[in-house]
Amino acid sequence: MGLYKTSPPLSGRMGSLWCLSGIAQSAVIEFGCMGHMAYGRTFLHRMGSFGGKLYSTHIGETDIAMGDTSRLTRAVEWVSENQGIKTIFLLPSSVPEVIGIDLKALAKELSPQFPDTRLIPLTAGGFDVSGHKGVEFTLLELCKTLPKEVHQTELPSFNIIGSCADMFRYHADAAEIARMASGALGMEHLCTMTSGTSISQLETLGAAHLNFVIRREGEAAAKYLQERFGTPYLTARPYGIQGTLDWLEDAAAIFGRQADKSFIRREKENALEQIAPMQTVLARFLRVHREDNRLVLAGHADVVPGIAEYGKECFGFLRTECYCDCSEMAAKDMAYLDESAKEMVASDSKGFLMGSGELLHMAKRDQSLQIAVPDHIWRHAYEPPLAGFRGAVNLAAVWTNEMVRIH
Amino acid sequence: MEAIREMDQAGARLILLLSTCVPELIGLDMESICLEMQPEVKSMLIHLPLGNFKCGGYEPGYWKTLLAMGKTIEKSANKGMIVNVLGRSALEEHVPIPRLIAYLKHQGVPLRFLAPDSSLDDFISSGDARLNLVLSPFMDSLAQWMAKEHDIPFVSLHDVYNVLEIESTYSQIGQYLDLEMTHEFAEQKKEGKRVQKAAAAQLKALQYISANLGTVQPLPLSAYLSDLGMSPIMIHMAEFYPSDTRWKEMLTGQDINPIICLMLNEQADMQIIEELRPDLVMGDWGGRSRNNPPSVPVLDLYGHIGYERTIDLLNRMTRALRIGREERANGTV
Repeated sequence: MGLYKTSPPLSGRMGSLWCLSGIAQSAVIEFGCMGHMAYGRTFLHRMGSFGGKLYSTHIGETDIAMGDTSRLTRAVEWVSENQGIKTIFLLPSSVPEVIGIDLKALAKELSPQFPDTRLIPLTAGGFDVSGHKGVEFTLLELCKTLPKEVHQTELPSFNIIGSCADMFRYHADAAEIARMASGALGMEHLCTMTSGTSISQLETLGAAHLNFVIRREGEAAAKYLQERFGTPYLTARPYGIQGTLDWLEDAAAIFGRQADKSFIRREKENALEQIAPMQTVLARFLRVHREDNRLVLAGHADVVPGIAEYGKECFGFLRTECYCDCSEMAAKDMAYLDESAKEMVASDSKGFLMGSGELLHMAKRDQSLQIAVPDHIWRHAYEPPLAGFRGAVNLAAVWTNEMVRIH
Repeated sequence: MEAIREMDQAGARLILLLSTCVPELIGLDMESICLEMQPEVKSMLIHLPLGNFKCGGYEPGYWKTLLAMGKTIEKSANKGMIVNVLGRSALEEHVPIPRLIAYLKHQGVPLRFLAPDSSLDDFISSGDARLNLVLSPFMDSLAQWMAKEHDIPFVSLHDVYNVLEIESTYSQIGQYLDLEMTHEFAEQKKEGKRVQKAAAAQLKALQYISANLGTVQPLPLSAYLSDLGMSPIMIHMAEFYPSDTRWKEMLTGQDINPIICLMLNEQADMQIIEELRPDLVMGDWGGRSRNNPPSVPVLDLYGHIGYERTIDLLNRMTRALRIGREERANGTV
């Protein structure tokens, strides 16, 4: 490994934090140096993830030399008794991982002391687990430990699995997906794993009639829920008008019901009404300026193909190039965005580029074209989505405004 | 090593190698890596061991990094007219320029500002100064090292609060620079004396907690407040600076031995502070917006020195105390 000039690949520990930080009624206690969590907490707050309380025990030289874990015991005691939080996730960081602290054994040992507190050790803090694996592992662990044995809700209901702090506009996309599922399929929204959720909501995961998995890392969790509760799932993200229509059709097929055609027609017409004037000018621009008729997308592997498809189909982008931010997800038509790819993409000034805040900054492009993290901006839940009908309108506006900037 | 070579080829003149938790824990010998690679590269290599488990917070990172920057300083046999100002950037606008520094500028004393914003060249050439003025506790260690290695005397200003001590410190600076400063600061000194006397009458025998003071060094402030007759119940110390040994001896010599703690959990700390029932809380804490116990804002005093800081601080303390008393007497809204 040489020099990383941009953000290095993230660790499994961050993956766990992306999942856990949005869960209210819970706390994360990290056994490790406090600096990690101090920065991590600000980073998560910046991404708009506020649910869980985040603590660090800190760790000193004596703890390391003597293998002393009493800081963790004291922290659990304080959080459980003083803060009244009864679900505590225990997270290791690099130092306990190196010295081989057995967090699972510790949780077992501590449990009798705190009979009314659920201690859940998560061991994705090591060096062998990537951020995306950390998300997968944590979502699965949450499904294994939290849902209660419940009956399905009387009225049809759904969960969203995979809305975590590392997905750009995750709050907005989850809200749009929930709005469409409720509107088109008449379903009640039970829980979003894990943005803006709570322990109580996660305990009812098994009561849903359908699970919407919006990233591949959530598929293992959905499979587990299917095996345990028999809940079917759909793994897809809806982008663009046609993509969203297909997504709703697939959901209705899995759900075994007809979608509300009038809702869908209304949504489609509303979106198209707004998109049409932008479509006219942008499509014309792309026909005339062939050198700029190119859409480069870099982000999560489940995000970029859908946006690329929408760009091609609706606006006439002739060339699309997709890059993903996880080496394990790279495919034939989607290269991994490594250091050299970032430099190459950033140095090419032609066409439309969408990516992380960092990549856009490198490329000296406008930050409104952002579709991935990292960035250095404070985010909130009220930003416009990228997914669904409303996301389609938003993307159309983002591209059209970029056209104005280009020329 | 690959990264060092790449940075060297890109033209870096100095590479600071910061080792964090894991390399520190597994005992990676970064010092040897520097020695091995130094002949191979043009960049100067400096190792900084900064494992978080060895440090209480960011403070040691600051002073150890600035101390390490001392290794870049070139020896200079001839001391010129320049005075190094340690702990303030030439570009700094958010902290008002201390009156002493403004006066020195006005007198034509050439100043070189050394702070994280300074250029590498400023550090390299700083060995030719005739005096170092220390405005920040982060710069104490570097100043001591420069005194030892480069024969540059230093005067510390960030830890001097007492009006009489400020006078003698200014006089010391005057002697180093052949400047007669008594007249220039006479009015400020007079005002300082008046405010200090009045404050001492109000603050005597009060108990306080020294909470988060930001970059203000806690023990020198506590030593000064003890001069005014106040006694600390508890002092939050994110770092025990090398220079703190002196202040500790000064306090314990007067039988002052408060609880020394690390406040990192605002909610839990607030509960403890309230239970200890101090008359005043210095600095930032979870109950900063309340007036009972009254809080004295200190975070923004970073970079402030001299008579004006003492006057400002004492005014803040007496005002906080007065508002707290009024609120207790009249009730809160």
